[in-house]
Formats: sequence, C-alpha cells, structure tokens
Amino acid sequence: MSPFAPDSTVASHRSLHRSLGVLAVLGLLHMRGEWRDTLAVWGYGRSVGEAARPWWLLDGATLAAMLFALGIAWRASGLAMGVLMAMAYVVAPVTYHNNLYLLALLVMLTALFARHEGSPWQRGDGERAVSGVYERLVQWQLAIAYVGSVLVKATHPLWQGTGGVIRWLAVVRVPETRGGMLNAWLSPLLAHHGIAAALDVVVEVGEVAIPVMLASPRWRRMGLVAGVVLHGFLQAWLHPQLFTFLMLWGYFAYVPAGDRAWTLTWNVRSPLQRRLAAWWPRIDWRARIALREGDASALDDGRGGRWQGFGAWVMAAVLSPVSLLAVATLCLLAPTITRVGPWSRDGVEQVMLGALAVISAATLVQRTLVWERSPDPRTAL
Amino acid sequence: MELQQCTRIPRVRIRARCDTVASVDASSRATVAALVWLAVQFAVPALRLDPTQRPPFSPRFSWSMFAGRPLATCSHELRWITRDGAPTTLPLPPHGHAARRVLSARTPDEFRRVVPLLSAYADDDRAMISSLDDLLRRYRATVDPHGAHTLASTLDCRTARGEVLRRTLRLEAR
Repeated sequence: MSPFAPDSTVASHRSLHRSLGVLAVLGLLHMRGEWRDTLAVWGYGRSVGEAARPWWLLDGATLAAMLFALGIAWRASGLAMGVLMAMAYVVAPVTYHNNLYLLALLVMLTALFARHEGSPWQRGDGERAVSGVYERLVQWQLAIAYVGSVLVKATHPLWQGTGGVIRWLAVVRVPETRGGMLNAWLSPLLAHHGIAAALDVVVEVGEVAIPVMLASPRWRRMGLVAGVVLHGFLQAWLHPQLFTFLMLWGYFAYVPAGDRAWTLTWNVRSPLQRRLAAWWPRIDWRARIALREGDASALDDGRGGRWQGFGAWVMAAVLSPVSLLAVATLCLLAPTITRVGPWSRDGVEQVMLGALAVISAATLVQRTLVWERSPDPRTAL
Repeated sequence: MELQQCTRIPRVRIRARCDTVASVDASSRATVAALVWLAVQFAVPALRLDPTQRPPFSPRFSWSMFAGRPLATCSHELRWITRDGAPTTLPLPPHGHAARRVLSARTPDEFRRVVPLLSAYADDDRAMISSLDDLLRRYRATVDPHGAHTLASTLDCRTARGEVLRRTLRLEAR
C-alpha cells in the first residue's frame, strides 16, 4: 500500500492534534515550575533583562502552544513554539531537555502534516478519509526515539547488561530527588547486581521489541500492552513526566479512529450511566464507540471481545486520549506542589497509578474469561 | 454513439493523466518534507555528539533519558581570600536564593543535591563543571566588582567508573 494512501480519518488527525496541544501546554507549564531554581541560578549575577530572557522565550512558547491547540489555522504557532524553545536553549543551555525536544518535534510534525480543516475541537465529519502520512511519521518518530535510546545504551559501559545505571538510579538518584513509596522496596531489590543487570537487558530488549511489535498488526495489541506497562512503571518509579505521556500519545497513531467499531451498551435504569452516556461523545475524541441502550453495561469490540460491568467503562475510557490527558494533568500540573496534605505528591500519584493498573489488570482478566478469539487475529484493533 | 465514445476516451485519459501527475507532486512534496524532517531531528543530536563543541551543544546524544554518564561524586571547596592571603568569610547570596544552596554545598551529598540546579538535565560532568565555573565568575563579579578578593574553587570528583577528576578555578584579586 502506498504510504500516501488515504487510509486515515479526520477524527484521527483531529484527536491527535487536540491531545498533543493539551500536552504541549501542560508540559511547558510543568517546565516553568521545574526550572524555577535552575533558572534562578543561571540568572544570578546577570542583568534583569538578560536573566528574564529565557522566561520570556518560555512564555512565548507556552502562548504558541495554546494557539496551536486551538486550531489548524494556527499551525504556524506550532512551528513558532519549536523555534522559541530552540532559542531558549541557545540563550540558556540549561533549558535543554529531551522531553521538550521530542515535544517540539511532534508539534512541528503535526503542524506540517495534520490534514483537517478548522479547529481540532470541532465535531462531525470525523469519518472522512484523509492521507495517513501524518500517522506514519508519528510512528516513525516513536520508533526513532526507542531505537535511538537503545543505541546510546548499547554503547555505554554502564548499561550493556551491567545494570550500573539502574543500581545508581535506585540507590542514589531516586532517594535524593523523589518521594513516594515505590523506590522504598525497589531500591534494595535493584541494589543486587543480578537483578539490576537483568532489568537492564529487559529494558533494552523491550525498547527494541515495542516498536517492532507496534509495526505488526498481528503483534500490535501486545506491543501496546507492553508499552503501557513499561512507561507506566517508569513513570511511577522515575517520573520521566512529559516523556511518558508523549510516547503514550504516539500509540494512538497506531490505532484507527472514526470507525465506531466498538459498541458501548449502557444500563438505562442507572441515572449515573444515563449521564455518562450523554457525556460520552465529548470524551470519545477518536469516534470509536457507538452507544446503545440496554439493561447492563457492556463493551463489544466488534470482533468477539467483550467487557462487562465497570470494566466496560474503563476499557471505553482507555480508547480515548482524554484518559491519558487526565493522568498527565495529575502528574504535570503545578510541579511546585510536592505534598498533598500529609502525603507526598509522588506517593499519591503512585497510589492512583497503582489503582489504575489494578483496575486495568482486573479488566483484562475479565476480558480473557469472556473473550472469544477472532477468526483473523490480524484484524485491526 | 461511436463518436461519443471516441471523444470520451481521450478526455478520460487526459483527466487520469492529470490526476496522476498531481498525486506524484503531492507524494514528492511529502517525501521531501519527511526527509527534511529526519535531517532536522538528527542535526541537534549530531551536534551534541561532538565532544569538542562548546555549550550550548554538550557531548551527549539526545535520544536517551538515562544513558548519560551518571554524575560524579564530588566535594567542593570554596575559599574567599583577601589581598593579604588571609581566608575570610564568603559573602553568600541572600537566604532562599537557589544560588546560595549551590555555593554552600561542600560534601558529596550536599553537592549532588544541587547539581540539577547547575545542569537541569544533568548532561554530563563536563557540562556541570562548565556551569559551575560560569556561576562562580558571575558571583565574583556581583559581590566583588573591584576584584579585592581571590576566589578559589576546588572540585574533587570520582566518577561512577572510578575515574578521579580534580578541577581548580582561581579568580585572582586585581
């Protein structure tokens, strides 16, 4: 098939643009908090104007990100955001961060290749076919990020299956920089050379395997699960923050949109479900779900897969980038707030992510019990 | 009837040919754009790979969160010396300013905690040292614009691979 075939939909382009715009704004606001002290040190002894310059550039980039999120008519602001971030980096090298580099690349890619007219927030017209070049480039971008990361690790003496970096993270870095509970039991575990070395290999093999699995329709579902587990674990332990959400955002470029292939049946006797069903079209940014009235909650994937009860709603939510943005907001917003009442913010995040993982796992188990395998496992998700 | 068919066929062909040309043009543009895209995204990492580059391009490939050399364990000695050669109290930045935490850090534990303030993304040891030197020069110019004192900084580091690194910076009194 030609890489320029019209095998994508407006709903796909629109939802990717919309969710990336929100992530860009969240990410830049997050960095403002993260860099407060770093830029205070950088600005010490400089004139007021010079010390304020990186802040102005970051403010400009944040404003550009907001405009980019508004509509495709503002696509030039996506390019402006990238340029302003590059300028901030040249003015104050301490502002360089891989997360922002990846963000700038993805925003510029969206500004250049997304093919939908008007605002990404408007509705209707989602099923219209458009070129799939944009999604393919996002897929390549993710693959480059994964493979590039492995290439660097493979040439580094403290990776290469030694577990050196992992031990250092568990024993030195994380206890000093982060709160939370996860490292308290991970640290003694990963202090063992053998375990750290094994995890080193697992991470490197995983980072190669995930883009390969995602590229294959047969293995895609497993690749998505493996990627979510990897990034969820890294987020809970090391808090890569924006990087986690950008990579998971990219996974939406691997699945279709605008197909209404899934059917969510909701219980007409439940007032809560009636309200949820009324709201669902606003949450279903990728137009994947057709709603149907019934006497119990259930989600059918159109090829034999079926989730029931609470799991149906969880799985339906996973199909929308709104869920990703909700977790991203929890983790990225107001980074200067490090405590929530008597608890550390990291601990609260870990408990919430853990609860999400348990619910998802329970949903998967339930699904496995009732799922009948499709005759053709290569069918798109 | 036959005449109509004869006139229709060339028209259809012409239209088909035109459509194909337009499609090739769009494909070529997209291919060129994709190639430029690849070149742009590798330009910065390539520049950062060069160890001879001065900041802002530090010698680290961009596509890796944790592949950089873990920062060395360092202790920092900072001395403020009068023209007579007598050590005196360091005039630190005001309380609450992040630069005060950096300049007060002495032991390896204290110094490791302030390293992210010198190099937010913890590029590598060299980037951190370069950032510290830069801060010390600005600090000296701020608190002692006439250069009445000597500022002597000694950083003793041991990298995670066991390499010993000693860097000294001495800004002499004028």
